[in-house]
Amino acid sequence: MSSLIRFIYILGSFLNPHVLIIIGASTALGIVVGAIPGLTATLAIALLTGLTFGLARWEAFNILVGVYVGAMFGGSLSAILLNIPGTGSASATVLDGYPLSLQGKAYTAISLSRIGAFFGTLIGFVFLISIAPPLMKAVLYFTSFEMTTLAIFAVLVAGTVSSPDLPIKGWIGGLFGLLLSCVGMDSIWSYNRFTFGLMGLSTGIPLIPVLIGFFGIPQIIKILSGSQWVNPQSIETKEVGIVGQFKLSFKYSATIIRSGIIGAGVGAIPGIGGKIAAWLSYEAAYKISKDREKFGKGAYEGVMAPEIANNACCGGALIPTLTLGIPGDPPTAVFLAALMLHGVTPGPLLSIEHPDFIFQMAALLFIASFMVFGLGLVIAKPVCKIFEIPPAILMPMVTVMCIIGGYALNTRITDVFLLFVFGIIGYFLTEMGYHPAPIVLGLLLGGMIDENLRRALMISDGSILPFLTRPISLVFILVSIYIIISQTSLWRKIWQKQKKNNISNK
Amino acid sequence: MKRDTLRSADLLTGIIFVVIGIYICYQSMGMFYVQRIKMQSMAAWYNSPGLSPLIIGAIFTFLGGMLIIIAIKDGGTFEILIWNRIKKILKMSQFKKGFLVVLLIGIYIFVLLDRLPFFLSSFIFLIATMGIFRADKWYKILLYSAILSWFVTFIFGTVARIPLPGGMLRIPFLPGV
Repeated sequence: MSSLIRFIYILGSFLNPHVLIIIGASTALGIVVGAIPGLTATLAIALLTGLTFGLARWEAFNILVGVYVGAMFGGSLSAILLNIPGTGSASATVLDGYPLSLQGKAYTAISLSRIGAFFGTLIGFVFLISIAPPLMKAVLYFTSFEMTTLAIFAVLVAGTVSSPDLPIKGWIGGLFGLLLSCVGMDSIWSYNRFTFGLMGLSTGIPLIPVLIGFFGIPQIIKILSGSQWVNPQSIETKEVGIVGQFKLSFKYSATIIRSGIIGAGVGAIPGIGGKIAAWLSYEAAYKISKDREKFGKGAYEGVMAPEIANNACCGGALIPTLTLGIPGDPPTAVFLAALMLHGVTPGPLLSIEHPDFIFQMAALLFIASFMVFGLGLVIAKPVCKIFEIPPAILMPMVTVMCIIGGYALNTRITDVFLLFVFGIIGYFLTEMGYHPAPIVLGLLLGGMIDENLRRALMISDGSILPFLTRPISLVFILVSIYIIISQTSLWRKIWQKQKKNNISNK
Repeated sequence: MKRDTLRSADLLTGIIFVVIGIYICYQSMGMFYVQRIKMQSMAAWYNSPGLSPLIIGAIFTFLGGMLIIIAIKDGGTFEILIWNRIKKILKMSQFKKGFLVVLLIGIYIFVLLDRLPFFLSSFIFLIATMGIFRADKWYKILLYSAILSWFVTFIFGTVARIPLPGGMLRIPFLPGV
């Protein structure tokens, strides 16, 4: 009860014109960025982290949360109107969103998506405010042993789940990120590792320019070098009013709750993200639905389910980010970097150094959900105009913005050089089936793994036994081993054989 | 990318990863040595700066090897290195356009940014890119490039006071330069 009162008090302090205007504007910006195919929430947050560095801490956080929530909804606009998901999280929305727009129901599809985004973000907010505070207390008992195994588990899961080709490529990506994090002075001895005598590398590989490079440059190259640009479908026809939209969505109230739980739950697992949440939710809706034959041809549930899940993921992903210092998805990975740049260290000490932080984040999420609801349809029509801009005009502008974002943080031209270099590396890796998410996670968590591993071994005088005797650490190790074994062909053969035996026994 | 081409690329990258992994392990062993000899005190293996890179390098080498094996089993060959194959890739329209984009961004970053004011370097980059990719008619490209580069420079450089990369050449009366 006291948590609820604290939250209401904090929410009240945020309900002033200054904050509302900032969140409104940033949510609108997030919707626009999310709607443009190739531009992701991760890129937007990375760019804005550099650009908002000079602002007051809470102004910067207001903007980043607004953009995050807005971009999650924004991806559905291009999914519905162009048949191209604006963000990876909207890839499932395409299946039923675009057919609806071809039937002249684009307005209804966007309305359902907007309502889904609203309820999804609210469910994520409920998860954040109810799970994060008690989890924060439990995390105070985590030592270096648990933090090491947890971080390794997060990178492993991200690699397994996000890889579009072989899981081994996801693991290699994670290791590549861990290797990059080793560049620079180590935290215990201040020994220069892999700097090749370059002073500029002694502070390590800068995170934000590398993120912008990985997420921005490959998309710019891909879009300019070949993708077709499709004319958007019209959203002029208003088939239903606001009351009708709510009546329509409340017919699927079970879907709302189920998808929200899936989204927030998946988001809370480090390294997975909105795309998986959206697909799992879509699949669950399909399996349970009485109108399965409509899926893929314009089912309303097919639009709502993934949108609710990927927006619930926002709140879910903030849970491990704030309580453990381990990001739930790529956007929160950048958000984590932004928090640290502003002097807020997520993790076990957050409840001591900034006791109200979680409630403040929850309040921003709560306000942003209403902003998405209010601005969603208003922004949709101008976004249609943006879709008509040829990529040969839009993408060079995005390049210029990436350069500004990469330079603004440290005002070093070497950061821009690194942005370019890692952008090219990112492009080749993406073309060969490596996803940037595990690389980013590895880069972010590498320092944590290195420091905690060595600290843990110093505590145990070189013995690895405590990793196995401490229950939480052991659980992470066993789950990690299971994940690795389950991806091998031998395991799959055994599993297939078991399934066949079960079927023949029945 | 076609599956056989992808697996051939995986074969090559697997070899590169093995080489990188071995290099990392070698450098990490050097860190243990330096720590023992130069740092003397508290020279335990487990607090060496080489510990994490050694573990990562070893696993990287192993996974690189696994990737080579998977690639060979799935049809990967060194055919991708045959000159005719390379010529075919170099002639592909998508490759040429991609190379052009990389070249333009590279010139923008490595040549223009450090020598010219941000407005000017961005203006040249925008004209070149929009012109080469035929965004619109030439006078519209000129107009869009001028407006966009001025707008970005003004909003970020002057209004928001965000530091922008740029050389020393100053053009008077142009805001943000």
